[in-house]
Amino acid sequence: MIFSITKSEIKRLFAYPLIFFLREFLPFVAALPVPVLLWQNATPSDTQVFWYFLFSMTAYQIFTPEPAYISREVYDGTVTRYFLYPHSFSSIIFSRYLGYLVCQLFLGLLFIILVAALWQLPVTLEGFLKFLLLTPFCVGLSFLLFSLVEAVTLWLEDGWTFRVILEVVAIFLAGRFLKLEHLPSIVEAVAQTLPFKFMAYIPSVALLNNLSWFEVSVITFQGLAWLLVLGYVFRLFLNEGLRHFSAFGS
Amino acid sequence: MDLVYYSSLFAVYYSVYLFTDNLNGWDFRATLFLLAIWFLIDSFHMAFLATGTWSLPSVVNQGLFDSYLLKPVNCFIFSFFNKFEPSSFYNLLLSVGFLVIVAFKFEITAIELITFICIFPVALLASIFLRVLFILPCFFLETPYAFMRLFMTLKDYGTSPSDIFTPLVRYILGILLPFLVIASLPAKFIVTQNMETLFVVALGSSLISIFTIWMWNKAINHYQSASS
Repeated sequence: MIFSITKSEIKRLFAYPLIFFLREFLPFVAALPVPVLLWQNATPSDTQVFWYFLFSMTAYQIFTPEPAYISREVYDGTVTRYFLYPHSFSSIIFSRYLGYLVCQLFLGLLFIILVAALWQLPVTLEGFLKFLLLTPFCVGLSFLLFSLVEAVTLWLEDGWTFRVILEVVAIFLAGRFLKLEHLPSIVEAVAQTLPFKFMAYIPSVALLNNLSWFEVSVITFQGLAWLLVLGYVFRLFLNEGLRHFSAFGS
Repeated sequence: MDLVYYSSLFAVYYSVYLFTDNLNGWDFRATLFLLAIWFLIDSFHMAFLATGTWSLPSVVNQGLFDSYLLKPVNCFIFSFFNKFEPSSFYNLLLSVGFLVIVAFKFEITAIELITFICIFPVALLASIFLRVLFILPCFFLETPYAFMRLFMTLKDYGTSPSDIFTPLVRYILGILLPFLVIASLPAKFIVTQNMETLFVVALGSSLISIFTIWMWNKAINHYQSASS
């Protein structure tokens, strides 16, 4: 009896870190070499390829935590419990997103420290300050973009397709698989205007100190404008969606 | 969704070849053959295999797999090919169209065409067995989605020209976990007719087939019926 309980507890002790390793860490690390090798071969003169993709993919991993999605609760009908709380629905899901973000941030930092133990990080104080300045916009816009897609589930049965489309678009327009400078000039201009770049590209180039202070100020205003626009759209979308949502038991 | 995926993959490689003519021996023509094979195999998977693959973990966890075992057909085939997705059939047509365009635009030779016809079924089988292998942990674990997620990440290796990797990684991805056998090495063989590449494709696909069938039998033996 005691032996079987001990055995199951030991199993549990190892199971959770193992599942986390398999589910979050291993796919993230495994995804890194392909864009790095591809672009190192295509642009051998660019010495920042490895660091660009390391930072952009880490940023994307941190800013888009999977458990913060609401679609599952919408389908289950369990989303109705949030209506009982004395806070707005959007503030609840944002605070939940922030909670997961802190966990991801901790793991992301741990990973960067691990990498820093092996190689010297090319991060200057100035680059780090620029990154800190732009991070609120990256967090806010990543949340809004994914939440807008998730809010589609208040109308449709299949929100997964839209989420995958956003992830695929992020490969291209957020700079997960290529730097935005690598795109043809017209596409680059579009990508630089859209808010997707805040999910991966901006944090990475800010950390690498590839942005001048003038560019940082322009991006700050751009981020603020997108936050206001997407925030307003999200609010409208959510209010209309929640009115449309027929909860369990109603 | 798939169209967006195919377009973004094409766009990435289009952007790469704006900076170079040659990726360690791979020109744009060879890479387009790689993408054409990949799209064809992926759309085949989406049309015939995807629904069965995605639903298998919940079928196993809920004990519904019992009914699969009772069917008078091969359990392996029924588990993965039990549902045809008509909407994905259009992807299949699109992929064939892309292959035809690439073949005409880059003037495929008769030898290359014959090679493609011979090697495509091998690549398709390797792809099916690889996908199945990553879903099999659902028989042993409560949350098999971690492996499926890993598979989705490792797919990127399959869409990459094989020669961007170091020889050791090429060996691993060609023989032990043969993601390169799905599209990259077949494309290389079609373009170069290199017998060494053919040997790796044959070895990698044979090993993955044998290992997956062995794992499948292990998984079936491990499965505890809902009624037991």
